[in-house]
Order: sequence, then structure tokens, then C-alpha cells
Amino acid sequence: MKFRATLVAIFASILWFHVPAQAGDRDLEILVVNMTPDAASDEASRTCFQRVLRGIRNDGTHLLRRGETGLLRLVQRDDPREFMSWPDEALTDAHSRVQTHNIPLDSIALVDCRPSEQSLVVRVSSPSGATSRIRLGGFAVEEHAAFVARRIRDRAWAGWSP
Amino acid sequence: MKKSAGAVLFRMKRTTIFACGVLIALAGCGSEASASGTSASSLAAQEPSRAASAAPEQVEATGEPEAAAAEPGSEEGGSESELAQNIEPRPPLFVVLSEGEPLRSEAREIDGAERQIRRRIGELERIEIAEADRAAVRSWFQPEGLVVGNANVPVAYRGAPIIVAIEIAAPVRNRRGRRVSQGVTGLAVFRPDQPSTGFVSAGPAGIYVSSYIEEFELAPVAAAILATREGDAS
Repeated sequence: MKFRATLVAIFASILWFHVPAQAGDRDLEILVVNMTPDAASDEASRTCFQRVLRGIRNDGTHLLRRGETGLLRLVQRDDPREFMSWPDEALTDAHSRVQTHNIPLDSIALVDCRPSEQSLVVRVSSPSGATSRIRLGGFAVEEHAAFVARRIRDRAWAGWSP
Repeated sequence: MKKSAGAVLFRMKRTTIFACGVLIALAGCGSEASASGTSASSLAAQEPSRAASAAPEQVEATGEPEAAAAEPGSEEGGSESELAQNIEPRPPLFVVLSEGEPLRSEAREIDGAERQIRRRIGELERIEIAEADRAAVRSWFQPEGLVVGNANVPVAYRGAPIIVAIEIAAPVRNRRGRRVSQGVTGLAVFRPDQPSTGFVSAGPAGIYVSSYIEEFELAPVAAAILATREGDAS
């Protein structure tokens, strides 16, 4: 009996040490906006955006969506076509304006995918207060949507803290 | 007698369970050891620098399509643009833009990156940026650089089928006055004869050279860029 109890204790302790600690852990809060202009938007561009979205979404990510108009209000800008040259602060200052359960945004990712023009352009802000620009062009960009999504995720996590 | 036989049986059970436990533990250690052995050997197999520099034809023999596509000696110059006809073909180029002297740790990582890229795309020539070309190279990582088509590519770089460029931020001093790396702030992979065909990532994302290159999954992108050259030729 005593022996069995010892065995159970040993196995229980092994299991205990194999479970990673998760105190204070939370998902990355990321807002993703499709910035492809209506005039350039078609089935291929929507599919491309969905591929990027699918690539960003994973276990540790809480994805938020908003339309272009909502984004412009959030970042207090007028022209969506200029999003690659907006100052960093336009995006990073907006992090605190969107909250989910009192948790502000960690990142905003703006995606403009136009397979017909062989162009995929992304602007992504990170919790560190910086923003990154990613451009892909001149070939079948939609085939590399997952690759770009991973790059977005990397940058979105930079400087993250629970 | 019967009782003592039971006791023996119980003791045997304990011994058996204990032995099983030891065996399982040993098996676990063994598999771990063999797993690490596998990764070590695969790492050794992936070690690119010596293989690439000592015997470039071995890189070709790996069968990587991008290695073959990156081969600068391939005869496609005849049907290239006028520009390409006038410029001597070169191997793919590796360019490192850094403000000031990189830290020793960064220099090591850059060397590692070079080996990785060489393994991915075949032959690779690392070139020092001439002072006159620095502004042009810096412009690749600017918001309006490269893919919008207004890139400034120095003439000396134009014979290459592809350029891989890394921008390293200048180290900063921490509170103790020690210089600390800021990591990679830019990565560009593009065709010098057609700069709008490529991939550019720029921004102080705080990503270090090693982690950038560890996940250097640009091989498919580089292959896609090189494939556009083949498309031009046909």
C-alpha cells in the first residue's frame, strides 16, 4: 500500500513538473485590417487577405477585426492610401484606444494584398512602440501569404509583456 | 510457507515494477540521446560554409532548385535586357549595412547568416559597401524604397541575379555604458535589374540576426524571385 502511494506520488510529481507555468500569461491582442482599396479588391485579394489572417491566427493570438473606416477613426487619419507613411505614433498611440477586458492592443497589422498587381504590402506595429514595413512584389505574392503572416507575427510580438 | 511465498511474489512484483521503471527511464534517456544525436548530425550535415566554399559543385548536387537557379554561369545573358548584356554576370550578392563597427557577437551572427543563405541559394558573394554606395543601399530599407520601383541600385551590383541585404542597427549603450546590439532592422531580397521584384522588411523590430536567419524561410521567396528571371528569358 505504502509502495503504491509512493509510486503515485512519483508519477504525480513528474506530471506536475511537465506542465509549463502559465501564471500571468495572456494572448497577444492584435487588430488586423484589410487595407486593399475597394477599386483593387477582388476575389483573389480577399483570398490572399484570408490566408494572411489564417497565418497570424494561432494559439497565443487574440485576433480583432475592424474595417478601414473604423481604423481611420482609431488612428485619427484621413487617407487610407497613405498608411505606409503614417508616423509610427499614429498606430502605437492607438493601441490603448482599443481594449478587450481592460487589456490594450499589442499590435495593429494593416494588410494590402493585390495578387493581380503582384503586390503585398504590410505595416505592423509592435508593443515595443516601433512599426515595421513589409513589401513583397513582382511574383505570385498570394503564394507567400503564410510566409508574410509569420513575419507579421514575429514583429507583433516584439517587446510584448503580459 | 504459503505466506512467505506470497511475500516473495509481492517482492518480485516490486522488483519487476522497479525494473520496468528503470527500463523506461533508460529507454527515455536513450531516445533523447539518439534524438540529440540526430539533430547534431543533421546540423553537421547542414553545416554549409565548408561544403559551399570548398566544393561549390556539391551545393548544386543537393538538388535545391534555387541553387541551380542562382547559378550565375548559366547562359541566359543573351536574351536578357540591354542592361544585363553590358554588365558582367556576378554570383548572388550578400550585403551588410551597418552603422559603425558591428559588435563581435553581431559579426559572428552575420557570418552564420551568410553560411545559411549560401546553403539556401547556392553561391553567394559578400561585398563591402563602398562609401559612395552607402546612401543607395540605405535607401532600400526606406519606406518608399525598392518595391515601389524607385530603388537606387549601384551599377556594381547589377550583374547579380539576386541581392540579399541585411541592415544592422547601430548598437546603443546601456545604463552601465556597455554597447548593446539592436539587432536586424532590415532585410531585402530582390533582383537588382528589376528592384520591384523582391521582398523587403524594414523596422526596428528588435529581432536579432540569429533568430532572423534561423527562420530564414526566404528560400521559397528567393526561388520565386529567381524564377521571374527565367520567365524573362523564355
